[in-house]
Amino acid sequence: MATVVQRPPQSPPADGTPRRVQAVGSNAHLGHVAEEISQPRWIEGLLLFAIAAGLYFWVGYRTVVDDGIVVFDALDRLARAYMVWHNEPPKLAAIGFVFPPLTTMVFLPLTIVKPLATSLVALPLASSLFGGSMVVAMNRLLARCSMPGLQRWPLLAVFALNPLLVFYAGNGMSEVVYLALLTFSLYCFASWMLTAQPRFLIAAAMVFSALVLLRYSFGILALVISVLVVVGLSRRGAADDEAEGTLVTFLAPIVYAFGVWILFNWLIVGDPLGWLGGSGAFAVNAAQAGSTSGVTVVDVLGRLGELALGVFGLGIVVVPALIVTAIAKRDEMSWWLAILALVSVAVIGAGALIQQDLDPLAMRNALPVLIISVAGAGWLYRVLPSLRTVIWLGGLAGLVLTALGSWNAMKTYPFQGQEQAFTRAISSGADQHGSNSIGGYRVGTRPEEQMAAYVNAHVRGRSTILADNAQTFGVILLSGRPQTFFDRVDRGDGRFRQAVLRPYGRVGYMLMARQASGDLVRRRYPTTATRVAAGLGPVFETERYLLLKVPARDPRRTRGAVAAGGGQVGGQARGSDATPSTGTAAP
Amino acid sequence: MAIGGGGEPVDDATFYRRLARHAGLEFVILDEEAEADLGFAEVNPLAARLLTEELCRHFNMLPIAYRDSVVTVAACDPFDELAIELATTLMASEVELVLAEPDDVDHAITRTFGPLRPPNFEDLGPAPSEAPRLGDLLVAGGVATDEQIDAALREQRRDGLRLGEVLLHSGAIGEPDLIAALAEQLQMPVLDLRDGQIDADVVKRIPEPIARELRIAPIAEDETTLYVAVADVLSTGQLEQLEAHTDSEIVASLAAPSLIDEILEAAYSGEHIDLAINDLRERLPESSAAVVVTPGQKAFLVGIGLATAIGFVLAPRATAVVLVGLASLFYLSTSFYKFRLVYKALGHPYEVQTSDAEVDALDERGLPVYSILVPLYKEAGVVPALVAAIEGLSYPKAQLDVLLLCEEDDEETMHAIDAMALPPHFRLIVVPDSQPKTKPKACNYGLMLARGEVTVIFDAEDRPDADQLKKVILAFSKSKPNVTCVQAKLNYYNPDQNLLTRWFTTEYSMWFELLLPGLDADGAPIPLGGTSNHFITSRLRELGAWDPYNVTEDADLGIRLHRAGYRTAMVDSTTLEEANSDLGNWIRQRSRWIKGYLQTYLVHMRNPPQLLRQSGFKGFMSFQLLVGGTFIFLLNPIFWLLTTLFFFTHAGFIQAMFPTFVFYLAASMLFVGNFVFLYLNVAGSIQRGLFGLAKYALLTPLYWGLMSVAAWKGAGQLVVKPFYWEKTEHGLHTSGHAEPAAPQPRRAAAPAPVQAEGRASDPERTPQPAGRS
Amino acid sequence: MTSDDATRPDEPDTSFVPDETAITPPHPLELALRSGLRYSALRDVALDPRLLLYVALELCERETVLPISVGDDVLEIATARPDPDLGIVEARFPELEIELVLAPIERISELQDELKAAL
Repeated sequence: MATVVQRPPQSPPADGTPRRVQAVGSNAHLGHVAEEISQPRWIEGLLLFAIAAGLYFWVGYRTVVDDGIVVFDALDRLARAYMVWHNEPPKLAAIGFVFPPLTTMVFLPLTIVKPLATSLVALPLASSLFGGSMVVAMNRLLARCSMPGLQRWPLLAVFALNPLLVFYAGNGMSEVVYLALLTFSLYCFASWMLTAQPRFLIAAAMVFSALVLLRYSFGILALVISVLVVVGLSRRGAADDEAEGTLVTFLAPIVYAFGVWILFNWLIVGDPLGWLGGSGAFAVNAAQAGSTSGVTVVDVLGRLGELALGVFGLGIVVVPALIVTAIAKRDEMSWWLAILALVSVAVIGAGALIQQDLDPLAMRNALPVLIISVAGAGWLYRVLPSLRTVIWLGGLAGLVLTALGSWNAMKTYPFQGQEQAFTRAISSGADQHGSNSIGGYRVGTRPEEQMAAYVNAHVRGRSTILADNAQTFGVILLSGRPQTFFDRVDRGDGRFRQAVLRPYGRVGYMLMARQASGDLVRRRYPTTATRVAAGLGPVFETERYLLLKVPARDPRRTRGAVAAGGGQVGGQARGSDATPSTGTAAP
Repeated sequence: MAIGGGGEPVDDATFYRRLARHAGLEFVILDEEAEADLGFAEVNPLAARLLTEELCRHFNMLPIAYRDSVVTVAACDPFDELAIELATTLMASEVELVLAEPDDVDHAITRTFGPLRPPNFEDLGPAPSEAPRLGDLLVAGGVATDEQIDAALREQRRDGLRLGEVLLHSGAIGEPDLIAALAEQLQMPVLDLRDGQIDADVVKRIPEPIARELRIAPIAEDETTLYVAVADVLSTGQLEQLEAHTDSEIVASLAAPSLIDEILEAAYSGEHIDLAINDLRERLPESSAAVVVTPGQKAFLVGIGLATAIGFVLAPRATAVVLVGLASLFYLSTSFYKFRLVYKALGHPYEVQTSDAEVDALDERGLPVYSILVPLYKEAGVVPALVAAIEGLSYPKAQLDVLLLCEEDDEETMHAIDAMALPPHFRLIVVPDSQPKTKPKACNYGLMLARGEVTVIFDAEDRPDADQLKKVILAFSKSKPNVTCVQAKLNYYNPDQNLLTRWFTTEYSMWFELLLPGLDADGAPIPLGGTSNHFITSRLRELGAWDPYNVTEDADLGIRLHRAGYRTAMVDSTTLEEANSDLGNWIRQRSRWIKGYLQTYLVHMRNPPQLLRQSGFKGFMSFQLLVGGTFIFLLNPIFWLLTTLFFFTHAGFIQAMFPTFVFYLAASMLFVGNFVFLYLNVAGSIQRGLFGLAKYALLTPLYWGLMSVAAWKGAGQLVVKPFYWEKTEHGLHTSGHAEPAAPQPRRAAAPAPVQAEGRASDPERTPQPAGRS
Repeated sequence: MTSDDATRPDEPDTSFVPDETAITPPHPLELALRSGLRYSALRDVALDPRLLLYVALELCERETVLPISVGDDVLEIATARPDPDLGIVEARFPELEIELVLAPIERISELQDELKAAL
């Protein structure tokens, strides 16, 4: 019989889906750690964000853009961020190497769009975005503390409307950025404590790596937290391995952030640790305060007391309560919050004592303590279920009193940055341009605007105005044309200093801040006499700035060459102040 | 003496004792209370059940013992020919008759079957349901003990399998015993074909898929009849169909299933190996890596090369800037994408979750046959550990179909397997010697013989979690119907051996704990890991299975599966493997992985619009960034070199290549992107609870350096020897890992040197963790 | 099959027994006398169905015989004829002596019917 050979088909005829086996049990996709209160839904967060950011932006726009209450630190950062994109050539180094770099970098996305920066809208815009984020983070934190929405929202409202926060959430300063991040990191720590999920620790660590680049002193808090982590883990009997791995996880991003910063400073500035000693203030718009002398512990404690009442009043009650709870209930997170609050206060005081300067006692520096205090109140709410109503009512009242205290302190506290003008603007709605504010500030940017307008109208060419951008940033930014200026960013400090010494033929003008002692141009030509001697003629001046015309050739050199029979670089430098000048006519 | 003999009628005892003597038979007393009496015979309850109750009652007889194929039957009528004939036939045994009193027999019947029920004479005929039970036969034959039968019956109640299978797979009985018992039960002759030569043409009279499904093999034929070896009785319908198909009368004889498999395998091995090698290439040539670069791709690449060259001549700076910019953008996108996947996965368990309770509650009676493919090459030493690992799996053994795939020239491993006399759910499959000698080819070959509805690949030194198979079954049941593959997580059991294994482990932790689950959640194609991927067998076959020309066939299959509209899910179960601890060995392995990824990229980018259409935008982008991301390892050294040069020389030409925006991009990648990735490795370790590895994860940039070395090696090979399978040695791990068994040295012998020589069945999955400039 | 005379040396000569086709069968007593076998009218026989295990009912009917008793070594079988074919019984019980007793055919049939009814 003939055989039929069949090539087997590729797959057997059977339909191959395996028999579905009836699974028993609950829905296993719900593998998360159960939480008492579900986290706020995204729509709630979005709504809160929109409301808070909108409010902050509106207040910020009114006070900054309309009323002229521009904090010059913020203006400086904004100008630097602007120059990162629009300088000629664009330079990342415009960020600068003294201030924490993220204070500038947060503006980077906004300054790509020129008008946002030159109109100063970027200041309230950036701040309000972070202000909104701060409120959202606080909402999550309170929810994590099992506080239901109806109790959360009133508390949040009073918190968010604290006048000091409103001011900083709209003025472009970096404070609100780190407050938002600090709030979020506290949320992460609380979540980590409650769920033991590593992702919260990871997120907290990454947030802290940003925090230290916003304010170096957060490094100290990071160290304190590291100790707390290790102590906490060993108290819970974790293996050494776990403590080590957890510590590595937390510290790695922070150490890395510092490491990169040190590397940059070393490579670009040549001084790896130069940023540690950097001075903070560029009070171009303030009378130069004489150096404070003889700061005593008593002074500092007194001021800290004022700050407590004026900024973090809630903490006066919450921190002792946290300590009592920590001891009574052996609660780790209560320890954390109490210690973090106390360390934050101590850092402010120690800073003032070490620097022998009361500037660190500025109101804004105490804001982190306010955040920690609110978080502490939330945590107490969670760990003391029987006292929830009391804690909630106390928290609400505390926040109201804190807000009132802040309003009061803003009007009177000596170490501040135009908070007083802000209170005036809010209560009267009046334009603050040209007014004075505690700390020797002249409010407003009219002098910058006038100079910028003049430059834009009369000066052509690139890199033709020699200017120390660390002092004249306001003019540079408001002119919108950084390419016109030859500043410290363009070719680095070295070339800039050379140009200050020998501007002739290199630049057509010099711009200096009239009162800022830090202005390198002004330092070189501090008096009319020196300027006249150097052949520099005033072209235009405003309340704060002076624009000088630079001759094509060094008048002294011309004469010196006749006298000495040849030009010499060294001689120029040595004789700069001594040589009388005939001056040159202004155009 | 009066007529009528003994006057008083004698009692039964006397009567039947005398009758027995007269008939030359033994007389027995079955009454258990007369145990001490002469002639007492114990009734073996299992033997007693060799005949049905009805028959016993009808003929008042009872089988009472079984020995050496002879059944002792107690009866009252020594010459009831019908009864004797029926008993002989039904029990398929010689019958030795003994005589007993009718009441005695009757009581014994009642003791055996219970009190008399209304008789149903319709059932008296020898219907199949009346056949003696297998367990009884086995016990009666002394093959199995009552305890074994009881245990098997308990297991049978749990898993719903046939008693014979349960006994066989538990090792209680051997295949010949079972077949002999079945033959008795089914009244069929048994074939022993071990030495017979069977004509392949005859075997092929019945199409292979049918033969495999029915487990039958034609063995001989004459003009009118086809003689078929069967593993089990065929139904009338099946017989009729076979007769219609073959146009012959079918005469079936029993044979051992393994023997039938061997017959089929011998007849079809040539076709199978041909299919294993060429099926994909012939059926889906566009999916086969047999061609490295298609003419269209060649033209494209040459075009790009030319354009670049011209660009460098005409506008060198602009060209360099464009290239650097594109590369930086690619870096940034890849990093962002991976970070997103990983961060998502950090917070949510995207694997299909299966609890222990669910696994315990799984009804074993519903479990499908599960095929386990284990490619082996020159690794006789690991066979015991492998068998232990598989025997340790919690799954009904009779539902396991373990195929140990040995290459024809690997006698050592085959001997080792033979020597272990493994239970019948293990099958030694000899893969005919042929090129390319790769793992995917062996797996394809095995797949054709696989009987399971689900098929998984394990490597020889793998240690899967004991409940992995059940978890996968649960995962399939919980997943959408288009989920075709379930990938278990892989990790290593020797992370602490040295720095390399620590890095390797952190990389795997990140890849399998975070990145793949992230992909899973995204519905993006998952490049499979080379082992512990569990497939629905029929769909795997439909897809053309593995590409024997691709050296990372696993990753390729994952993409192909996705393009076909199927999905892969991750399951929360881990298989432990041995991490490569030797640098040279590691580079070889990694270079193959990277080469394979490049192969896979080229294969799937032959028709980008089609890929886009099939995978969707998300899938397409994911493929570009993840599989295409391999190119980053090639770019890394270039960027590292430029960065280093710049820092030390501030060379102008380098600065010129990085205009503002490109520079910002590159700088943020350098300082933020790199750290983020390094940190994700830390996160992966912490997530898996490997806290001790966190600090080593911080050194990962050095590991990226090694990856780039491997990448360039792999890329070079793609040009020179595209199908060469860089073998990986195993067993380099020597520290005190004792559970479940220390891996043995593997693959020390040199492989056959041809293209694609030395195929290895190593843990060949292919992660692509991130590294950048 | 016929009974094997050679195995029964004491058995009377039966060569004179008339043809079976004779119109009137001889009386069993007459046959008994003629053949030297015992005769019984089977009046007080106690029926024992168990005896059918020695001689199956079927055989009884066919050969018109009836087992009527069994002793240690002897099986008594009533028969209507002096020469029933009992080869099968002899074969099955080779050690057993078979003693034939002639009896009236009607009585044997009657008893057979009784037995059947009793079964």
